[in-house]
Amino acid sequence: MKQKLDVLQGTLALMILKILDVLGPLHGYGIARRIEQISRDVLSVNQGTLYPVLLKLEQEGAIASEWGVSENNRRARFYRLTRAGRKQLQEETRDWEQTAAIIGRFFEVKAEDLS
Amino acid sequence: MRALRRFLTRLANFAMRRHDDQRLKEEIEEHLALQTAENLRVGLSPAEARRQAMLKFGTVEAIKEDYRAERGMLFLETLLQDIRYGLRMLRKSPGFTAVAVLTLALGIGANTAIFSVVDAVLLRPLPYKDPARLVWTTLQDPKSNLHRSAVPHPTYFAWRNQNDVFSGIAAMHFMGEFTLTGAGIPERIPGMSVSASFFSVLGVELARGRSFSSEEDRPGGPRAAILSYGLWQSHYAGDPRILGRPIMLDDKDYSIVGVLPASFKLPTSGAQPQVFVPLAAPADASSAIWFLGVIARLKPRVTLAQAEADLSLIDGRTLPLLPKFIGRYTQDVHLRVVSLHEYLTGNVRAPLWTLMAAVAFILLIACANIANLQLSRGSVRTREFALRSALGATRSRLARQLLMESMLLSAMGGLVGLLGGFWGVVLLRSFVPRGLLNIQDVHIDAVALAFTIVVSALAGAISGFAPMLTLFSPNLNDTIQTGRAQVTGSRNNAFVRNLLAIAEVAAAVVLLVAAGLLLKSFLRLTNVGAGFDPHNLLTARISLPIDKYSTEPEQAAFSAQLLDRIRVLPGVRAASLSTSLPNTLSSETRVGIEGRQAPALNDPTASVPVDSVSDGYFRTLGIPILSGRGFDNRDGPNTANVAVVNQEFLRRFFPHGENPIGKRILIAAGTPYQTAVSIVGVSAAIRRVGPGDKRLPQVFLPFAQSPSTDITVLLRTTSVPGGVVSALRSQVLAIDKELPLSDVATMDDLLSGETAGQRFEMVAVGLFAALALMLAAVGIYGVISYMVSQRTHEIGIRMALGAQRADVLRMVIRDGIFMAGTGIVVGIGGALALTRLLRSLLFEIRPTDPLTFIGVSLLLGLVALAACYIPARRAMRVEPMEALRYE
Repeated sequence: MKQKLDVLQGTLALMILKILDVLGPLHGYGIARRIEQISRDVLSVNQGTLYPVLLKLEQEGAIASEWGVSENNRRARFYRLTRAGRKQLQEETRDWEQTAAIIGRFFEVKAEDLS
Repeated sequence: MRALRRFLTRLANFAMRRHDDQRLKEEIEEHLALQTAENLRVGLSPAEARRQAMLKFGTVEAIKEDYRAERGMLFLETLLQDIRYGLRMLRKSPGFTAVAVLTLALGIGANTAIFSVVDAVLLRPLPYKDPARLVWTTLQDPKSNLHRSAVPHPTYFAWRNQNDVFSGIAAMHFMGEFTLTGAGIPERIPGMSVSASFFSVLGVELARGRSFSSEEDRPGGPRAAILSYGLWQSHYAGDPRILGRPIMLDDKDYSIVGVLPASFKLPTSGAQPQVFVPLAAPADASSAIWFLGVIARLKPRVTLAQAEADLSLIDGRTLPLLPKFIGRYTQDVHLRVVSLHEYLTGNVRAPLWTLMAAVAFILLIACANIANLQLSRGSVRTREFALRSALGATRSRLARQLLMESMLLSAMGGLVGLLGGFWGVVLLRSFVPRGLLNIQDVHIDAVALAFTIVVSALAGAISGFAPMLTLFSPNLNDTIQTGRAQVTGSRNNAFVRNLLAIAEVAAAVVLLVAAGLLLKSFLRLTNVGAGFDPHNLLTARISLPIDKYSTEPEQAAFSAQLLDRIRVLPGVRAASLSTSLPNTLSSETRVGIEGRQAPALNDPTASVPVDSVSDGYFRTLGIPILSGRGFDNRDGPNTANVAVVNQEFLRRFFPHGENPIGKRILIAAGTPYQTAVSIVGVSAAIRRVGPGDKRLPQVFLPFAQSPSTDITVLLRTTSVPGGVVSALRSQVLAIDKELPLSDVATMDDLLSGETAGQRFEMVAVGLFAALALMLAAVGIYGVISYMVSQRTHEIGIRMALGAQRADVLRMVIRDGIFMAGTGIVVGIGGALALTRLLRSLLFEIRPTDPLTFIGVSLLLGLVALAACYIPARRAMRVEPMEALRYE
């Protein structure tokens, strides 16, 4: 149970970094909406779980935040990627692609390939 | 790197108490507002839009909790919370806290104090290079199992020249005191002669100069001396050109060749020598035999047994060549080679470890008591815990809370105990009889501090364990429902608990009886009084060199001149001389009464102390003259020989009340030196030193008629005696500039030194007894109040059925009295068996003194009653309806 949550948190962090990389500074709600859009509402995560992850990334120095003004003209916290965060994103993307490629190869294996 | 940064940020947040909940709250608000707006756009009603937004967001409280956990150090935060909560709980029951802290403090303090002694004496290595390889040779008598450390010098030479097992061997010969002259005022200083190899075997580097050469370590060789650092500083002001300067010791000229480092200490328990001279033992045994202490350094990989075998082999070859009486001396005994450290600590090792084990055991009992106390508070606390767990506290959190409370208690106990330990060490240092190696070095250092911390933590863990277990009992739910702990109430546990309390009472009885006996004995000892006025009395010793003052007239002239000079010193009310201190044992002489039958040679009652005292002696000391007169300046060498006797002398020699004045005593009766003296006065008797001491018969002779080279100066001063010391010293020097004044002391100090041993025993046993009494009281209290809490329900039923409050009180008290009574009976049995061992320490009191036994039993009974009374009152106050409603 706990294990699954950790994996989820890890991927959630990666998603956040990627979205901030592509779209620039966003507030929490914006990030949540983009995750929903991109995953086509398959990922049903409680939106609130985003915030502890955002804090963790910020304390690690991957992202920074400041107050800004939202679409409906109210104060909102905007998050943006830092240089360290960009590096982290590159590393993790590479790792992720490698892992995905390996797993992918396993799924493609047929009996005659190993004979 | 990333993890580190995250950790540091969290730590900083924690340390700066940054609780930025406002930011998250605002973010959540905005998040929900945006989502609601979105929902409104797709056509939901305002209420539904808000509800859906909140559903999508998730549990706000859980998110906040996660957020906080991410932000700071959750573990530390809850720890702080636990500490704050624990402190609050302890403050809420100050009685319990005080008792627990005090009990732990006593236990921990005793452990700290004893450990620091063990550490200094047993664990710390000797202050020499590679001390583990240093050995001592001793001769063990198989019959008496006694060790003698006296090796005849020819044997030492044989070992030195023939052994294959030592990388170095050295000998020492204690010589006692030298008279040091020519460096300021003459003085007696402790000195020692050692072989040339002595300092190199110990691995000591001299601060200046060199060790003795083999040329100097030979009979008739050049006289050389090595100074202690202290002597160099005090008498030569640390003169850098000290080497080669002469030093006069016992009127002989020595050349200073070296100075020892300040850190040097000789491995003896006695006075540290201030000056060392070469051993220079004779080459053969024809003139004299010297008995030496032999110290050696083992070669690498040589064992003690190998060294012993090698030396025995050498002895076998050389003993036949030695004079017969040495052969007899060494043949009956076994040669033993022991490590120097073991030799120095051998006789204190077992007692010290026993003491250590005893205090550790006491601390364990203290922990058990506190566990008991906490269990007995269970009935109060279970409701609190039930409430907290209903509010969502996990069991582990509650367990941590309980452990934290125990830890807080033991930490406070440790802190107080450490203070007690400091005091205890000072006490030990001042009271422990001299002769314990390193005892003056004992202090609470980092090691002892670490020990105290570890012991406190252990005590906390042990005493917190039992109450913690109750949380993990299978029926916590029952507890929550009924608010009553059902755990550990089994018959078995109750038995163990009762047994513990009974044993505590018994131990307290034994220790209290011992302390009571010692206290009574001590009071007798000090109340008896000295028989003279010891206040404002200065004493000092002068030893006239026999070469210079060989005849009686010379000795008498010196003392007359001295008296004349010191009597007129400012601040001196009276002065007089004697051959010994008034309350020490002086040499005895056989006496008889003229006209009676001469005493038989083997008659011990004919031997009495005879002292020479100057005129004014009785007035100076404040000893009353009961009849006749004391001495005055008419009693000189040319007048009739006179004597003063004391009352005890009358009691022994004139038991029928005859008038002694004018009767003649024969001093040294029946010997060629017999002289007759006439009794001119009778004085009161004074007390002599030592436990079990008596007033002894005594004869005083006038100093002018019977002078001596041993002179004790007695000065009665108008105020604190310290001020006249230098004046006294300069008057002595004015007569003879090479005469040292030694053993300068006030009589008050001498007397308190006399009883220091007894005082130490009394204080030590008294402290243990207080500790035991405290433990017993806490033990009984814990057991009884636990029992009351367990039986609240039963008591409720009894009262509902008509039992009176007095009946309940009686029921509870009866249990307590039974426990205390059993303990007291067992304890008295033990005390009767054990106090016999105290007999030699007691003065004018029997070890079975009934008053002490009764008093102690009453005291314990009262304490037990008081310990029962508090829980009994609680039981009395049980409201039947309330108690029954628990079900």
